[in-house]
Amino acid sequence: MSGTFLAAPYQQRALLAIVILGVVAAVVGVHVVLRRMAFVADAMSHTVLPGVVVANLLGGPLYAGALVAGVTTAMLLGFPARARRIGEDAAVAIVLTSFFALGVAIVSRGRSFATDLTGFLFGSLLTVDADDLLLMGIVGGVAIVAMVVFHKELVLRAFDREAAEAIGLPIARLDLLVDLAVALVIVTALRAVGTLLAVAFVITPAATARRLGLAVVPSMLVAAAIAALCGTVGLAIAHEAGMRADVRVAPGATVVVLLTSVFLVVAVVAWWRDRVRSA
Amino acid sequence: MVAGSGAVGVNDLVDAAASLVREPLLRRALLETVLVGALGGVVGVHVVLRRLPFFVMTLSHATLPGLVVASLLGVSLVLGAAVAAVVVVGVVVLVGVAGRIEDTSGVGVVLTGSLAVGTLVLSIGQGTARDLSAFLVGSVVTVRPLDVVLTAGLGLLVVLVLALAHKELVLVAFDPAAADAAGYQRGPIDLLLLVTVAVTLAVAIPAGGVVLSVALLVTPASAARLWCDRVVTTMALAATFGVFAGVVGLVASAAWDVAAGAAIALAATAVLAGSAAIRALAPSRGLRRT
Repeated sequence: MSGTFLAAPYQQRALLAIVILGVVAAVVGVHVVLRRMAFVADAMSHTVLPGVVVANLLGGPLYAGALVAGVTTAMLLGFPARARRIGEDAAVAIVLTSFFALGVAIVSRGRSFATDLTGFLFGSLLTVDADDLLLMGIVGGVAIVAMVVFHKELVLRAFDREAAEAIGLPIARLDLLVDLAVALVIVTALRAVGTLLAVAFVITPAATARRLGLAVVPSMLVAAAIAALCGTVGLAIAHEAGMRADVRVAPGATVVVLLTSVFLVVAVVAWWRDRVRSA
Repeated sequence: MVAGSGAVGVNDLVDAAASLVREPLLRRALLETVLVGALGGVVGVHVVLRRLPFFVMTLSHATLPGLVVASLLGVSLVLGAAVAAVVVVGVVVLVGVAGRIEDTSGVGVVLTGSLAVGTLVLSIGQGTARDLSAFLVGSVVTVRPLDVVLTAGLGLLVVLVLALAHKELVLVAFDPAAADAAGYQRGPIDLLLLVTVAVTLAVAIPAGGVVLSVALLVTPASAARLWCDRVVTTMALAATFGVFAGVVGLVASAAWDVAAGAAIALAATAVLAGSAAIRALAPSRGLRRT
């Protein structure tokens, strides 16, 4: 069955896109999950919208727009909430909704409002071309290199903030580095699954691997494997549903639903295991 | 040229404001916006006090499958959103009872997972990009009369509940230890708050959309917190800000042909930015530090 669905070049490109995204998101995602930054990652996936929309209006590359908006958000969120009376989580929510609203406002002036908006937010997995794959590889590669180079520092900061401070590591700059890496992952995901579903690739496989009780690097490897596996199965399901049952199924969403299901199964098993052990 | 376009912009605004009062469809949108703005402001004060913005974000994304199913079945979107939101509150409470919710990644998984389930079901049900974008950014001009009635009724109920439980909610928010010492059961009080937030989101989402409704529940309340100390006055001001942002956003939306939900969210952000700027320039001596 999988032999038939991978025969078409566009399916091969779609799978390659998922694998690239899965690997990049796994490496960055474990750091995000370790330091409980899920909300920041989610914010970022919404705040890149105005960048993408403006780039589209100007006819420039969407990637560049997303990158500018992503880096801007990372900088904004990196500052501790200036006004004490606005909590940090409220500040993240406000930045998120404001940026998203700005993007929606601009795109809603256009003629093909709905199609454009959902295209940016959910991507188009089956229309990824060779140039997209190359860009995904380059942008994702930069994120991976950054995570590998600062691996020791990032892990120390995640597990033992006091120790990291004591030996003089720049905590704020390390956190900014992870924020920027998240922005790069979202840029990587833009064409394939869109900005909103990108977060699923960052958080879900990494959270699954952590629930298995793995160390940092094995977590990354397992998270990447989960993404690749769900990507293959999800694309096959979407393809077969279209071919055999003539049911139109969104492939990107199918992959993310599979990722979520794997997480839920592992989370329930891990919870049950902990109960049995502690009893 | 610039001055000319400015004048046209103002004329557009005046025309748009007049049409909001004149045309029945827009009048309904105006009423819905005012109701949702006021309700979001009031409930939002608790959201901000209890540090619930991430919860609100998750809850509102999690309503997408409910919206999709409701629209496929042809029933009220408020109903679909309410069912989905209450289910999520149930799950959160169950997980909370099971003991370990310090890990935020699980919440993040639920958030994106719900988005994916919603889009998947929509794609299978032959839904269009139009439907999806309406769910995400709201569509206040297509709100049905039933939705407005539901908003008014449920909104009144929420305000009533918050008023009756006000003392307990504020005590738990500011001094949980004292609440425990006084013998209050924090579990039911927290659950009550989460359910009121869920209901508020459910009535706000058809108009404001999954993403932008979060702004209605966080931004006006955050802006009001910059001006007030007492909870009740903060709520009154937040409701005023919510209504103001709603009306201004709706007028701007009609005048300049931008999505209403986006214009309302941006108007709320402008109120917050203005408040923050004024407070920073003219620091008040009377304001207590928190």
